[in-house]
Amino acid sequence: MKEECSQFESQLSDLLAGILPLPASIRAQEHMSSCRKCRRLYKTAVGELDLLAPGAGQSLAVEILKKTSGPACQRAQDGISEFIDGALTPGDSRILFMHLQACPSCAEILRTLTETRSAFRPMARIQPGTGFTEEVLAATTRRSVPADPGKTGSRRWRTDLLHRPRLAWELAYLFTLILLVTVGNPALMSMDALRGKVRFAWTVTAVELERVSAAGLAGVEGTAEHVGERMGRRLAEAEQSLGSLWDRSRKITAAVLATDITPAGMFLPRIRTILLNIGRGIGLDRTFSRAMRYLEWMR
Amino acid sequence: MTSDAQERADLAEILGRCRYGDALAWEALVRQFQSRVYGIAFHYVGDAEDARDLAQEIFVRVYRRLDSCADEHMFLPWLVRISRNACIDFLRRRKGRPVAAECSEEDLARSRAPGLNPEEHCAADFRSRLIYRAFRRLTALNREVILLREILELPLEQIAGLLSIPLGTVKSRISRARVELAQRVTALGLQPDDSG
Repeated sequence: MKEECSQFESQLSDLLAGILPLPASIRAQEHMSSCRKCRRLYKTAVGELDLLAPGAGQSLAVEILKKTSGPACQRAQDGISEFIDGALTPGDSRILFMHLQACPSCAEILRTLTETRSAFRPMARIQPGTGFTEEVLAATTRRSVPADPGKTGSRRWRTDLLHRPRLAWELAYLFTLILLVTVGNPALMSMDALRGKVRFAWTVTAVELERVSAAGLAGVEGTAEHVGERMGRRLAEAEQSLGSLWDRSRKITAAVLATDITPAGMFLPRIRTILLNIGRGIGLDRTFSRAMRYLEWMR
Repeated sequence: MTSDAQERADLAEILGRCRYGDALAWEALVRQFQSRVYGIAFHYVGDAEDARDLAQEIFVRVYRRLDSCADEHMFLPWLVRISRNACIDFLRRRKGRPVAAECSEEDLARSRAPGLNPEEHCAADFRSRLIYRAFRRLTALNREVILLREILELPLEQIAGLLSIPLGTVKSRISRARVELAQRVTALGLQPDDSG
């Protein structure tokens, strides 16, 4: 029997490859039917028999991972997140699911996350309750603009500009700019001189604003350029009468005129930013706020 | 034109009008985004009344800074950024005051998904309650990334920009947050058949 078994083992590879001659193949089959050991060897070789006991494969894998890379759960949890985001390749997905089949805790995480996703969507929008919109509008809109189908083109543009909720602030800043460069620091002047110069500055502002409105017909960019040019000329005139203030004026004017002005909405806020920055830089920020108070007083 | 494209075109039109001070357009913008802004505020602060005040403050900030929003594609991330900053400011101011840990039934009811039949409503409420409780129990860091990714559904790149951290860090934070969320949901007893 041992001889036959040895012969079977030597012929097994040819038998599996199908190249064993027919008489030898028949003898091998007959031997297998009578020899349990060789039959078991054949079944193992063709994959019909698992040498490990049921469940032993999983514990073996765990033992091997303990002695090599450690448990792969952390990597699997990253993979679960990528899988949920749809960023996992098919190959990585197959590897991930092999882990999930063997790891109940990771499988539970994926199942729970998949179930919770749909419940999150409605949580993005929660109605704040009645009256919220009105409260927001009251806190933001100072003047409503009813739709006027009769006004189109340049008239509508002009109306929209003049009804901008922030226009009052923007005009105040524009006036303050002119006040600063034509009058100087109001805090250093006597009240009478100040009143006279403030009136002058107010007149300049009024003239410029009139021109701003008229220039609205020429378009937004034209208006911005126009305002810049007009203010530049006014400031040049102010050079002669204001003497020592010229350096200060020139810095502000240069910054304003160098601004790359495109949309009208950016123009006045940008002046405000420039003024604030320059004011901080040359110590005029307190003067600036005083000028704003004088402006209110004049009105 | 698809509904998304139509929505973007509408938003572009509304934003353009708002920049020129059109009060009607501003009202439309408020109505369109108020539930979203309130939702963000509510999830950050966990209290309905505080969230309402905060949402109002957020809209005031939006109104003042509309000029700085480049285009309609960037409006939502820009809105989320302003909302987040306002919420963080609020939480700093509120430091020391007790934080509401649970939302009320009324608050939860507001977040119900529309178009469900009554049975689905009950299931949705049960699920919402469990998931919301799990969400509130997350660490602040994990709660924020779950809010940005799962609730607001922001792309990873936008979250990275919003939090000023690399994309890889965002992915790992989200992964950790999801694992914590799943563990807390499981601990609170969400069963597969409950969704029902």
